[in-house]
Amino acid sequence: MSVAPSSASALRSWAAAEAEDAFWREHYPAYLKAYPDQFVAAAKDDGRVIAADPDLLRIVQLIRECGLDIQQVWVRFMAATPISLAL
Amino acid sequence: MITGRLNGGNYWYRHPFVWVSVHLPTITQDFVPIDFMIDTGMTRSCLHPQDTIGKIAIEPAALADSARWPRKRTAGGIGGRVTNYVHDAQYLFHHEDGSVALSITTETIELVPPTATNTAYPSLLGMDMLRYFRLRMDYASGIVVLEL
Repeated sequence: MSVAPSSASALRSWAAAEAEDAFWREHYPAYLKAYPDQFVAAAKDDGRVIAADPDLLRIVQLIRECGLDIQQVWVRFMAATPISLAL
Repeated sequence: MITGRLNGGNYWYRHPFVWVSVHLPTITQDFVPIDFMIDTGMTRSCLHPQDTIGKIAIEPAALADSARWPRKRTAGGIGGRVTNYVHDAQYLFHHEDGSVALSITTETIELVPPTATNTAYPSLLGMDMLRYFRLRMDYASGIVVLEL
């Protein structure tokens, strides 16, 4: 049986969203130049880039090799080549 | 009032995004924040692999194994047809101070299996969620508002 998360969990989630949003707003332009068309994984605790790779599954592997869990990092794709979406 | 923004980082034109907390019973213990692209052309909200793997923390091998997912739904789009996994979900929409504006517990979310081309796509907030709001977008100011 699954237990619904608490209201504290909801507030933590929002705080996490704000922290991640602020992080990428600050670093996205620089990382876009440094890691074009790659996924970048940055540690949540200190913001250091721990891995970059065009392959998402490879990023998961590299994060683990650094001794981190996927939930300890932020991962985002640096799209240097503009995407035209038709979802 | 729930506020999003237009994000131009990855696209020719800016697209509307909003942060929503989601909980997938039996998969997540806590709410997880997802930066959804608002998509009025999407019937049901979905999580793409960047978020299912990177945020919800589902193992890539589990996502690739359709036998592990008893509920499936096939959807058609410009890129063809895709069969997604369907899972119960709770969605929380937040005011700007973080307090909860709306909690939706009666809907599902679709998990899109990874393919060679979809790993960098954003997760999409479809009409199953957008029908609860009045949606206002101001491209010039970069603001998106979901009003109850």
